[in-house]
Amino acid sequence: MNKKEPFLHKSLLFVGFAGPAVFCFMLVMVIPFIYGIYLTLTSWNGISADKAFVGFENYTAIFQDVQFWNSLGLTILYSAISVVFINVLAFGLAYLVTGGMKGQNFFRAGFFTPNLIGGLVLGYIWQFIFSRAMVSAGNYLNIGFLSTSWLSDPGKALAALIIVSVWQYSGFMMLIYIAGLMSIPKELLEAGIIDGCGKGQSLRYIILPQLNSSFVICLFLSITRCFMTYDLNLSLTNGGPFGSTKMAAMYVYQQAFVSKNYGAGQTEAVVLFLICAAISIAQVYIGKRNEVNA
Amino acid sequence: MKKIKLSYIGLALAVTVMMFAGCGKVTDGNENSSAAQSQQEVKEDKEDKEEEVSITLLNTKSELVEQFETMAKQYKEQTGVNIETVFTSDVVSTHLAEKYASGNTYTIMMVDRPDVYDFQEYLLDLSDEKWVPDGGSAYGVTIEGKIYSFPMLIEAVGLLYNAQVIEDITGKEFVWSDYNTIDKFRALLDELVQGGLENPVAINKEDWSLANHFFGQLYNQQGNSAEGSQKFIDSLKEGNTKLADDKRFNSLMDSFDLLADYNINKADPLSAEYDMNNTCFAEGDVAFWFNGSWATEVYEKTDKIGMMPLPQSDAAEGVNDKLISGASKTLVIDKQYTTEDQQQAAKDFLNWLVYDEAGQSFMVDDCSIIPAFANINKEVAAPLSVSAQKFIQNQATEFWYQTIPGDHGTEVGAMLQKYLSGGIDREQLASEVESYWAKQK
Amino acid sequence: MEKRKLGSVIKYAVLTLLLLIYIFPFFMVLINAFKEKADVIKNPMALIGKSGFILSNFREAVRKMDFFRALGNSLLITGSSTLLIIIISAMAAYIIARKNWMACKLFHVLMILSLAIPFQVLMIPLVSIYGGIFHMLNYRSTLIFMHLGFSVSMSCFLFHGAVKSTIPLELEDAAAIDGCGSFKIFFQIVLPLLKPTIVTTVIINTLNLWNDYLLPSLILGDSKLYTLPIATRIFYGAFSSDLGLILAALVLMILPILALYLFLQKYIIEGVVAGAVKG
Repeated sequence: MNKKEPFLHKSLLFVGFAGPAVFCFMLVMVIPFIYGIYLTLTSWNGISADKAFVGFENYTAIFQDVQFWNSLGLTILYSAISVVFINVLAFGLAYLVTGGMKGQNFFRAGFFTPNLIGGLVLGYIWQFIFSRAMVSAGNYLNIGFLSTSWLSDPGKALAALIIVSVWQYSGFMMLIYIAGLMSIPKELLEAGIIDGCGKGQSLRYIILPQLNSSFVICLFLSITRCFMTYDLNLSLTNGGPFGSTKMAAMYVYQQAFVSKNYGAGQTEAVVLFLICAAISIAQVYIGKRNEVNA
Repeated sequence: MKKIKLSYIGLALAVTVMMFAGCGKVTDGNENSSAAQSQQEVKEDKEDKEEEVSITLLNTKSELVEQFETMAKQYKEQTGVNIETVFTSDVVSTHLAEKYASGNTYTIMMVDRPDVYDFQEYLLDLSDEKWVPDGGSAYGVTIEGKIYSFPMLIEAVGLLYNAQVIEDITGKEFVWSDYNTIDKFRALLDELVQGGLENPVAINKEDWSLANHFFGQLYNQQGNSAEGSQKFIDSLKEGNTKLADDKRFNSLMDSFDLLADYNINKADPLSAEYDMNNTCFAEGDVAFWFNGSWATEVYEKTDKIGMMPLPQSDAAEGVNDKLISGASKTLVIDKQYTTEDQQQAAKDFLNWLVYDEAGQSFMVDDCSIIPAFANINKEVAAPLSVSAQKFIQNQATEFWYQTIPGDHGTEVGAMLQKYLSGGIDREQLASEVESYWAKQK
Repeated sequence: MEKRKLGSVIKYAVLTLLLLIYIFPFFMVLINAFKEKADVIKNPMALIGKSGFILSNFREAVRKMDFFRALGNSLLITGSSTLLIIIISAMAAYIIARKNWMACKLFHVLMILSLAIPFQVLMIPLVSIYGGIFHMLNYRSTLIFMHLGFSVSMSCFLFHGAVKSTIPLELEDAAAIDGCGSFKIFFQIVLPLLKPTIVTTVIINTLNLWNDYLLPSLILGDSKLYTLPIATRIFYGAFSSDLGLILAALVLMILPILALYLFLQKYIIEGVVAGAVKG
């Protein structure tokens, strides 16, 4: 584009195009966030009109809150496993339904349907399935490990959370992978076939590199969503059995609103955000370095 | 090309206009919020004969939603005051915290007792109301000598029994006092098992049920008074009580173990959902269910439902004959964001509940509430409430300590769930509960 | 030939099996919405409950949650929010993608970072500021404004990617040489080419907004303004929930969004194919 544009012209363009979006973003996310940070410097209990300023006390207190770190560790474990399965499954499905086979629209629509149900309700339905439907099926068919509710056992409950997350997000990520797959120039694939590439080699050397940006996007989205899981956690296991599946977001929420330590809870939420942002940015940075320019 | 551009802009404009038109219509509905700032809305008010007072009421009992709405209409006809009833199933204290943060709350709120302490600085002092000597001081919440809450209803916690099922097996009429020791109770359970009812007991898995209701009995049964309970709690906080050696603790856990032995969900105790137990109890698959007088859907197969105190091995203080009860839900009036007119209207409403025939009928007949006020002579209809009311009328009640910390349910509940599923033993449970209390300020 | 057919059959078998697993929860919701509450609890897998196939759950649900009013609110809020989000996000993404100014880079980074913020952090500050200070709560337009604020980051992100990778700079340069101003270039050349991304963003935002419970419940206090997710919460009691009603309400809530999705399905494929052919 033109090199030297007059400053007034630049500002008008910026405000004209990005103005509305930036305005809404600043007012709804940035300013409340700043206020939220201010609240981490108080010992507010969430209710009283009195918000005593305590400086960085809440931040130093985090290091002694063992339960917070436990829930963080659990969240990382859960996120790592889920992200891998989500993306592998999403990519696999996308690959299968973009070959030009009959009925692929039908399959695509089908795999996307989990996204039609939101947050809490999704969890309630699956909780119903795990603790009622599966148990009754397990008892009827005499299958041992299905006869007791998976949600009564810590390990199985975590597995249940992972399964539902994968079920929920893979359809969405599949969409992104499909778009990525369809935008690979046909010439590249044809050139590969002419050069004698089999399906497997085609996949490894042509398709996967081209999908780099899709991977970056999907990884980013799945990491942030899994890290911040709350709705599903609440409705599927409610942190149970006996608090063994309480993820970081739920722990932080309870600190703020149930234990009435709003200042402390908010501080932990901010720390959680920082950790999540750091991980995501690292991942995006690494991904961008591998990018193949189209 | 130009057409596309125009149509995009046209669409955006149309939508924006729609938006403002849409929200314009609703401004009228906003009259109940922070009255000090909404002078404009009051002017736009359609019904502006005289100064019509409108108040809002937060109801947190889902079983009573329709009754409240009907009552509001009736109240309007009778007194001209407009009450808008709102229901929420969110946790009350969180919901109200959000409301107060946003500067827009309800005139009257139905809260749990601990909430009164948390929100006290925003609440109206009701110490001079007429109903205070009639039950307000006995059942309301008193903080530093002032009364802040109106006891809406009395509930009881204990062992629910399905007399029909029991009588079908034993062949004789079920009288609860015949089984008010742990040995007689155990014998009855055995008889039921032999009679074909394989697992006659249902235990909830929900943390609030295990921790706040069942385990709460430990705090309640300390001298049958607020002071007694508080003393016990304080000694727990200071680490002066060793639960493993405490008689009441062991007595309660003995009974818990007994119930667990005969639990219909023994194979998988943590999958026993409230609804599931409700259905089992109603249909007669179990004879006993540790729960409370609020269970309203248990009359599907029979009306012979009642409740009794949990039989224990340690019968000191007559715990086997006294039913734990107290005013669990209370009404409070906001003073922070309401006008004087609204506050007066709210106070009038409370008086109406206690002293007006229609108000009493609403509470007792429509809502099946056991009233907290001595002047109300009506008999409640629901069998479970009748059963509980008998204890209350005979002064055979045990104090219900309700000012437990907000996270007692989740924390101690988790420990009890572990115990119920066999993960920890009684000693470990005792020490975990002790560490919980040691952390409380 | 044989090998290819076998491969094809296996492919179909695997896909169908997976599809059944994916759809299974919906199936459960559907069959149980037509049963009495007791049947839902005791025998959830049965096709028809002991008390038979009943429609009363739906009638009750519609009545108790004031369904049509809530539906209207949801349609209004979701529809206008989505439309506005698309327009302002696409515009912002365009300028951020094309220009290298400090402001562009700054907001790009801020918006991406904001995707990692948990809602809890903002919940109370949001209502304190907009309710406590500005008294803007309890209006649907406030809710729409907030939806915009929360959704632009994600949508900008998607549009940014699309502009960078699918819109050829040459086209824009050619138009500029022809004397077109920036706005003209954007609305007449770039936007039409972004169709596939627009469709994707519409779906994503519509889904998010339609099912959103937390933000609307904080902003809208008047029951006449309730959206569908809030209206459905009426069936969740403190101790127990009426499962039959909840499931019926859920079915009713999903129908419009399902219809929209099936309708847009055509356009996704058309759009994506068009993009691929041109690209």
